[in-house]
Amino acid sequence: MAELKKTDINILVVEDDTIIQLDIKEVLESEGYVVHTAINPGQALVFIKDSPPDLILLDINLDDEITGIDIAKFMMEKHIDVPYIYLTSYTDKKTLHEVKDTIPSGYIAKPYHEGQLLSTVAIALANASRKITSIHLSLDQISEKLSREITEKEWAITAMLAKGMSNAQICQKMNLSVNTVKFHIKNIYDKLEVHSRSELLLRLGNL
Amino acid sequence: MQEIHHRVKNNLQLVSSLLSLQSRSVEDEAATRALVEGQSRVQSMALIHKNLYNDNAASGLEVKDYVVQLTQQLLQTYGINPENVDLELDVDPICLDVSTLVPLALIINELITNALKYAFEQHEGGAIHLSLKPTAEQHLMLRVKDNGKGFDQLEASDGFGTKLIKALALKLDATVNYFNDNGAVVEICVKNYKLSQ
Repeated sequence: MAELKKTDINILVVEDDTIIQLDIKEVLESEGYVVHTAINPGQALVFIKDSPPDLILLDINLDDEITGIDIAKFMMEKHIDVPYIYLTSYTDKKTLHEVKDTIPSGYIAKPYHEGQLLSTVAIALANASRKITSIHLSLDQISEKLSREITEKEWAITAMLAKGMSNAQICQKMNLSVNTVKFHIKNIYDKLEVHSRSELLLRLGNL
Repeated sequence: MQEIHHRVKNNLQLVSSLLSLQSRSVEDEAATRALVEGQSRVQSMALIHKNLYNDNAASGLEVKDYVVQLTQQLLQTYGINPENVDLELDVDPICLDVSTLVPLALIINELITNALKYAFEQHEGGAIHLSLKPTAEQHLMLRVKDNGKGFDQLEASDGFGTKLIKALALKLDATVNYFNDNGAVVEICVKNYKLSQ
């Protein structure tokens, strides 16, 4: 696995309490990460859309109608594949049940401990990079594990999806029409039993 | 109720963050240490609250689980490689009420911190033994022993940790006994404690 330098890793901290936010920022910066902050869902969404970071630390209650869970759901819908960790004082069953559906890379209960914060971040980043390198698995290896065979063309498109390429970029690269690419993507999703890009990446990471 | 629990934890987080921020902004080593120790005390209380509200109706915690988590947290706080310290925990299965657990947790926090800080001074091969068991008289006996250099003088020092332990012991109607036995030993016999339902 190619080791990323921490100074190349951008982390967005979404936390409405500015004291806690500052503490998290300093703890992460002391480890060499590049840290960006957002104090409300609006700021967070703008940042995520404009310059997707490598990891997001997401508070759930943001003193706003929109919660951290909503932000996570928005990213899933828009296929913004950025791993994120919930950092929250909500540990009740109802919240845990709700967050489970959003497939977070981790869950840190407040009050956090510095060591635990850093290890959870490191694990999430390591898993994310493993997910990307797993795309280098060969088609033969993947096909062995699936009930339905994936074609060479579908595999090529899968690799492009995994790299985060848009449909338009894939059309251009493969010299195919939009509808054809969409058709292939639908087949890929069916064969891998997923419904979105983020699920696809998770699935590939687990194969 | 859930909302109150949430606020308690958020406020503990805020206090912890304030101490953590300040510990990084002071230059004096003694001041830094004092703030880190302050944060560690808040964290040991926070650990109780974190565990407590996971189960809805709980008024107390299994003390063994708590002590395991607390000692791991302390090793992390003071940057000690767990491989360098042989930590032996011998805790009976007892569920203690929060009113007992908070002062007891703060005492354990002080004793383990002391052992880590003074007993070994970076040397490898340190061992800490902690036991917590009911006695024949139905008291609760906490015993923390290390294999370090022992107390310089058996008359308890006037350090802040000692003062804190004395005050917390008062709350628990506990006797505190310091002695040397191939290292420092502290025995705390708690007479006033409340089990959790």
